[in-house]
Amino acid sequence: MNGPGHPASEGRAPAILLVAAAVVLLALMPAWRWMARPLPPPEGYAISAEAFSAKVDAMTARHATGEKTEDGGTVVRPPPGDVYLLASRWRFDPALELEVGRTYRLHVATADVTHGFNFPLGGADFLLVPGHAYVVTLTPAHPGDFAMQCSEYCGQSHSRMKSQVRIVPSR
Amino acid sequence: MPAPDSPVLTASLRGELRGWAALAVAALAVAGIFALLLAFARTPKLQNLLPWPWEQFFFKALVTHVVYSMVVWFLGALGALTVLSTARISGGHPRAGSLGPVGMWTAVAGFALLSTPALLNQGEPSLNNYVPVLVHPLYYAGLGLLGGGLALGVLRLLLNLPGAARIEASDWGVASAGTVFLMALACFGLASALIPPDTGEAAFNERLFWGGGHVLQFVNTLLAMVGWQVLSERTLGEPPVGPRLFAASAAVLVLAVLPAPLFYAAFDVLGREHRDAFTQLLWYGLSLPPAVVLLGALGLTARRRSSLPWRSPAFVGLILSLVLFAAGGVMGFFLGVGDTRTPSHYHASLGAVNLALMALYFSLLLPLLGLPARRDGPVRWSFLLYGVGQILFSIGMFVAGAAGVPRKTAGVEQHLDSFAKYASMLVYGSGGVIAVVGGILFVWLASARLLSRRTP
Repeated sequence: MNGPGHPASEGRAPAILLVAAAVVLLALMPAWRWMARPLPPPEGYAISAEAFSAKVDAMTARHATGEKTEDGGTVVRPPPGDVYLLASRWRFDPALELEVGRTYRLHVATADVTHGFNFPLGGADFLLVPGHAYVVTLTPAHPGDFAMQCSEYCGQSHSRMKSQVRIVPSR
Repeated sequence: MPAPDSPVLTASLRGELRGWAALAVAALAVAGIFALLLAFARTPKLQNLLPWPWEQFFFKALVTHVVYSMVVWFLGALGALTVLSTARISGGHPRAGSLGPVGMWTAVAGFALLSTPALLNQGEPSLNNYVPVLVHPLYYAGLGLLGGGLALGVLRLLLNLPGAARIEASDWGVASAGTVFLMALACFGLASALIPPDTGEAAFNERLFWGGGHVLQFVNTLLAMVGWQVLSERTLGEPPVGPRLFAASAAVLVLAVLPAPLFYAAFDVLGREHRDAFTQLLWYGLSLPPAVVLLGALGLTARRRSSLPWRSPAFVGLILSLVLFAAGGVMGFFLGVGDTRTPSHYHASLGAVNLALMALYFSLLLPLLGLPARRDGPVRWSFLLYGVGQILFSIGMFVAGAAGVPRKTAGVEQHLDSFAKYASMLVYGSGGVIAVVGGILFVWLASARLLSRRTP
């Protein structure tokens, strides 16, 4: 390993330092903590896709604002409490309009394949596995448009699977 | 690495080297042809000239283009470097010598199979991360043969390490890249065994290639590091870091991927922790060693600033590779979830690996085969165009992402509603065109030499 002009001890100290730094970095990796104590799963429960879709449809029928999104989605302004959101290739339905200062329990599920649910406003980033609904509780503090998107590859248009939740002042 | 006039290459090893070197360049050529077909599929009138319905063909061509340019090219180059290191440490007479040619021809068979489904308009495209696929038995068989063929060459190299009289720093780098590659194969195998068979195609392919795909980035990084070490020695007369520090840097990358198979035991292969653990592995395991070699190279360049060999194509390739990798590293700390900053990071980083390998072709591989470039000028231009183009491309993409341009979109979906978005996408597009010209020039020059009848 040592060529001419490289005595046996040359470069030993930086090499040891590098290995030590790398070991420290790897030791700090959060994956080890997850091995000992897995991430708490999001609050969830088993569903049938049809029953959950029926809840979404009922909520949409009752609380639609009459507006449509650019991609033809129905805008819904549900009252505080339980709100239902269905992910399917490659959209989230319905488009939600929620009020500042009210508390919502957002139930989200997939109608088809596994999706990811990335919704920073609700502090959510987890997988949506078929057959399960997951609950995110949120109390919006400020008005604005807040993005949600699929964070797990789910097919050709995965990168376009996004929606926005509009937070509006309380009535 | 052996000097250009090294006697360690026997006729058999020379044939293997030429085979792997040609396979890697052919991968770029095939990727380029599919890129052209992609452009056809998106162009009115021209799209009707394709023998397949263009709507179906577009994504198949995209998958095939990506796999040849991002997987086959890198693995082919690793195959060539593996032959060189094997020749070096064994004095030209390796143990288990037949593994090499068997592996090379196995990989050639895999190479041929990979493009077959797209040309037959078969298979559903899956644009999953790292190794996009066409869901077709021939495509998976192609990947398997390519990986298996390279694994045989790597195994032969590892079998020849014990008892070797002398192992150069760059040979440690190549052996480390090979070892990490075997770890990636282990991850693919574990994923394939653990993913439930009723998993949908998108999730199946995403998780099949998620862990191993992350590990392959360690292979790519090691390839760049080997390139910097060799190119620096050849153009500046001195490596960026001493042999011991380089070997330690390479060993750290091997050490970092050792836990990867354990993740399959610890976490649900379809779960969030599995996904995040591999992302963390890149963050915590991949950054330090290349940073050490890169800083060493930049320091050496700064010390030699009054006498840098700017006329040397290899030096131009080295510098541009270092700049691109540094840019990609910085961009990596500012990734957005769904905007173009993420692809800007990996286009810069993988562009740096590309440049290091391109420079190695004309500085090392082709001269060893007795096929040096006829003139330096065109080679230098190919590196300059590719490197500068890729830098503009990545910076434009990064700024566009910071301004809010979403990734994987085109046309009106990009919402280019501000000057920053418009200008940055203009820089991105111009850089892309310049880089493509440089890439085509490289493939042309390298292919012309590899197809040349001249032998040493």
